[in-house]
Amino acid sequence: MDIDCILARIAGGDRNAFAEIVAVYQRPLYAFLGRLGLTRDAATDIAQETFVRAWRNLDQYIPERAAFSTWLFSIARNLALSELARSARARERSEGTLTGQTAFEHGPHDDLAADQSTRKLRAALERLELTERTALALFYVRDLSLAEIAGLEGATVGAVKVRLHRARSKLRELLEDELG
Amino acid sequence: MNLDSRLEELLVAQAFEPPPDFVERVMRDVALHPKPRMRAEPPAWLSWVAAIAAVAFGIGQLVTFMFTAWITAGVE
Repeated sequence: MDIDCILARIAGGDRNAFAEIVAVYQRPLYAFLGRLGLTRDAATDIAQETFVRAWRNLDQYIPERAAFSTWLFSIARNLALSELARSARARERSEGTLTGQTAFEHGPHDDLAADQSTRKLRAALERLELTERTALALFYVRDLSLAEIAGLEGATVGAVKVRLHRARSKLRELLEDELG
Repeated sequence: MNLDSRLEELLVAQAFEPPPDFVERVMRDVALHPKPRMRAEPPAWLSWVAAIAAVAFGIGQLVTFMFTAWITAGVE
């Protein structure tokens, strides 16, 4: 996809060109949000808000500074971190009660037959540090290199590698039974 | 299958698929917002400044021409 060409079309007044951007990035964005441990409902809200913010702030995208995917994922990452922090606070508040849905709980639209392993993985992801979780989720976005992930995380490539290693080790430990 | 492969498999399976109408939903939201000004576009006020400058230049040229004509007529 030639992003410059699409941006030029948008500049020329072709709003529908933005739909091509959404079509290309919706899958990797959803995948990223899913791997952060968010529910489908939370992922949908954040993915939608990411694209709307990208549209509203297209003038702030500087091609010389970062690839479009990096810019888009930085918006998604920031929104997701806010949501994770919000849901962590909600969980703390509702501790001991049965109410208070968080980003990790199954929403009404989640698959009822959600795989046990997936649920365990989600619970394990929740126990990782946020930086480890975001690094791990970004690692599986094919468009992003380690250097770009490091840029998004505000860390060095070495630090990202350490986070990835730590995240995998913790997950292996937490999911020992599941993986064994 | 070793532990790492199983973990990778679980992580890959953790990804969601977007709903089939996701693009339409986003575009409906996008329609509520005005088209953003792109970086390559000059700001709107610049065209006003250019228009005013062009008019001022035209008036200046006209005044100069009339003044020159008046002086020339006086000399003759």
